[in-house]
Amino acid sequence: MTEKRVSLARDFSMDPGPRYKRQGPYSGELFREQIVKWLKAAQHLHIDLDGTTGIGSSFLDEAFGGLVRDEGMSPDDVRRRITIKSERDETYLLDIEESLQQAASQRV
Amino acid sequence: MAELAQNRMTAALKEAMGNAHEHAYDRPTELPFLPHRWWIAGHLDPRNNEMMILILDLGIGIPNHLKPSLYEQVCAIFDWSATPSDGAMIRAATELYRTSTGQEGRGKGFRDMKRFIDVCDDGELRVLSNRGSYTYRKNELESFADHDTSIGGTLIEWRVRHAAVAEISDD
Repeated sequence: MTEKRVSLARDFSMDPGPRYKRQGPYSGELFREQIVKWLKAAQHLHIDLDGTTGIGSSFLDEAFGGLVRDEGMSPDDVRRRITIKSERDETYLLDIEESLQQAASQRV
Repeated sequence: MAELAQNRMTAALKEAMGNAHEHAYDRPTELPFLPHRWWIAGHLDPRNNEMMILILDLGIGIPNHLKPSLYEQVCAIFDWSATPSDGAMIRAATELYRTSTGQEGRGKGFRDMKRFIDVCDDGELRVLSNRGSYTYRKNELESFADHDTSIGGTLIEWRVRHAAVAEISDD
């Protein structure tokens, strides 16, 4: 199984931006597109969220909730294929889990 | 400033700026001059470890951000029969993430704004929007009020006291 390890700060931006691309650079929407590219090249993705200046909920919601809303993945697909690490602020992990569940409930 | 508090401050500001940019001017506003503008200001008092940050827009106001369908659900959730006041609507907006209304994670930005307060030694978030005001103090202490006149937009203010505020001035 191919695995890929990425860091939000190192491989995307130290300064994650707004929700949508139209709002500004390094958005959650752009990060979601990057995740989709990585998932095409590797079966499992490890994403490290530490080391940024701070991540807004809407960035996380668009990046991860968007995988369910817009990319056709189920919350279980996301949990199975992506391992997320966030040691400095564990609320990011709770927010992502909440986004996955909300996105799934909206889709029905 | 401790890194967690600094990260939470940045996240809170990003959410507030995102709202000012994305939602404030999506319909005609009360005061139609200076459309699509918003302002940010900050004041640092290292001697007293205090900091204040303000974000202002002259947009439609938070009570008007709520879509009609969502508005009805909010009324049902909070058991309101009459039209809720602006203050009550702001408070509802800050709580939307708890509901299953599923509006693209609406209300989560407010949670980020509160979480910054929660990791400071002491602090207060105030949101003034149209005729309403909402105040959040550390550890879930909140209140809301209504006023006779509208400020014609939204003002978000953080006032915090934190032992490491002085370090910001060195950054």
